[in-house]
Amino acid sequence: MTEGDGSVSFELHGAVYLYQSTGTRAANLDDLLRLIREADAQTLFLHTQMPRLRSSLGEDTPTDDLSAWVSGVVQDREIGERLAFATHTTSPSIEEVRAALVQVLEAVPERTRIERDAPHGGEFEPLRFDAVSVPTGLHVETPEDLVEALGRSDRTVWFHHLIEEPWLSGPGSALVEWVRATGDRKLADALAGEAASGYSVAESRTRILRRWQRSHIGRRVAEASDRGGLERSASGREVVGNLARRLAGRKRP
Amino acid sequence: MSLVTVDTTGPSLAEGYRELAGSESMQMLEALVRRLEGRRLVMVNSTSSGGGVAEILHRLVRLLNELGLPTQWEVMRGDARFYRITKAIHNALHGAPAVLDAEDWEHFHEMNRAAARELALDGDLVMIHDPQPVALAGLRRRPGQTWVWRCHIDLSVAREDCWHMLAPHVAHYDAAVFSHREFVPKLDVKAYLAPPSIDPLSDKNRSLEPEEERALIDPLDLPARKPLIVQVSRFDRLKDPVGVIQAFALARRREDAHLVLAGGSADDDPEGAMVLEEARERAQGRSDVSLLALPPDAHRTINALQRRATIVVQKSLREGFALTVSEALWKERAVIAGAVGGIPLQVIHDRTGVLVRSIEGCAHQMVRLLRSPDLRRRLGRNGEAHVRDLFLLPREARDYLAVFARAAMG
Repeated sequence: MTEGDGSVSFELHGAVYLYQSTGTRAANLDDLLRLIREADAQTLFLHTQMPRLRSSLGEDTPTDDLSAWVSGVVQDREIGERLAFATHTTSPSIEEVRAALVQVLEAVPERTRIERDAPHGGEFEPLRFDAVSVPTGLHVETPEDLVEALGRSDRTVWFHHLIEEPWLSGPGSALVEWVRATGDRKLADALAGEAASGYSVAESRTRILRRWQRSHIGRRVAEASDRGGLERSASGREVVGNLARRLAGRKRP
Repeated sequence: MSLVTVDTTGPSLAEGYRELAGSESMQMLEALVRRLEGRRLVMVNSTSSGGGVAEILHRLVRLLNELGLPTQWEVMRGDARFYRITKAIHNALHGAPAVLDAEDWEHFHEMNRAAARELALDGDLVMIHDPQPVALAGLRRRPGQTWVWRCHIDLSVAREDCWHMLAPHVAHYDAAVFSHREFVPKLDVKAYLAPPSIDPLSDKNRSLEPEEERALIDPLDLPARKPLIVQVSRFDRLKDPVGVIQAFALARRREDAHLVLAGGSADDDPEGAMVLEEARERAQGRSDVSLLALPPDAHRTINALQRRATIVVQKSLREGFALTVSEALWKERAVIAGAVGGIPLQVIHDRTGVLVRSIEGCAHQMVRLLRSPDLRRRLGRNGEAHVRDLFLLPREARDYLAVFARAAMG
């Protein structure tokens, strides 16, 4: 955050995630259980939350790497689905995710866990990452600036501030705290709620922008109703016109 | 001169990638170029033509210059003996017995010393590609420079005696980059993973006009009205061409289609010729199977075949990365692939394609996909989006710059 003439601006950062090998691998569900128990927070985050950074692939809930491996490579659909569900938590807590994943795999008899294996060459190899923070050069001063900037930013900007930070350096996110400090509690709550929503970043972005537009239009209509008749109807026409243009995907003339 | 002149004619690459990959996906690359402002990058390898690395460098060097990062490409020279030695090193790193003696290694080092005298190597950032010029860092590195070794080779079965001679040179670098986690050896420097990428503007992947596509397909004498199931791969047992024919034969009991196995001519590859013969025997008497031996530069034909395919198969039993999968996904094809190597990174089961582990599983998925155009369309669309995100050339460029940013600036 930087302070200038009394206002505090926030610089948005994206990130490039450079992957590194951990040197470990799982050939069956029993190995996977061991890996999940021993993995550091960053590795578990990478394989359960980073898939949210990818395209949503036509669905709201991205497939995490662990359940994708179990369903697709080991080809145990039932355990895959249960692991996928276990990655959904109510708060951004790696330990909550770990406990839920371990519980699913511990419920499978040890012999079955060993029998459910990958083909030779299809082992699961967990990774870690080195996040290279990249300043975007975008400094925002108001919540309006922020929403406008986020709307056209690289997906990693959302991911870095709203998902990676609360999960790995939390509690909370510096960006959300900044929004709260500007007085926009609703936007701050909405942004904070995306950390553990399980939605892809693309879907989160759509949800936040849609919600923001709705509340913004409501606010402007309410403000307009306080004005005189002529001014009110002109403002009303402008708001409705803007809404119609947005729905039609056109820019303001 | 050892400096390579990169072709800069024609439309801007940056604009081309922005159009195909989306401007958002170029944002981080452009932000990294700004972060590295004031620095110059030098790429070094051992050839300016032929082979995948030279192909990538022609594009990368031009793209980075267009984006504003001054980038040069220098090629180290060697004599015939040097290239024989580096070919033997290449084979040894792929597991073949090494036949290199002390004199060979001395010649290898002498050629690197000569290159160290000849090349400018005056960038702030230097990326050395593959083992041939690996010794340059120890010979020419000066204070303030950041050196990264980019190894494109699969080192998973490297001969210990050969790697033992190269590893001490890698210790002079700030970081090393490998294509796949299985390729990473034990090292004292930071090792990063940068999956390979496809170039959406290359002949193998660019869009084709219907007439051009027809002109490429017609000479292959394939049935015009039948759905095509295509596997593009060299004739290698690990690509399981015979298994693909067996799966197809099972699927044909339920659905009509035509199978195409397209690979290299195998003229200079005795094992390839043997596998091609096995495939021919298995396909004998079948008019619904075509085996195509294509020349190495048949990029546009492969492009057209993949685009014409109803289903693309990559039923490998072992794999490195298998970029043919990304090529097919980029063309919005429904893909059936073996669950090995780098394939599960590209094919997320039932989202971007389907993964199989057996001949019967492959046959089942062939029937399922042949019967379901909606499923094929959905998988194809998702596959294209997945490749756009992760496996196009601008992402590889972005990863390289991020490695330099981390190594040079922390």
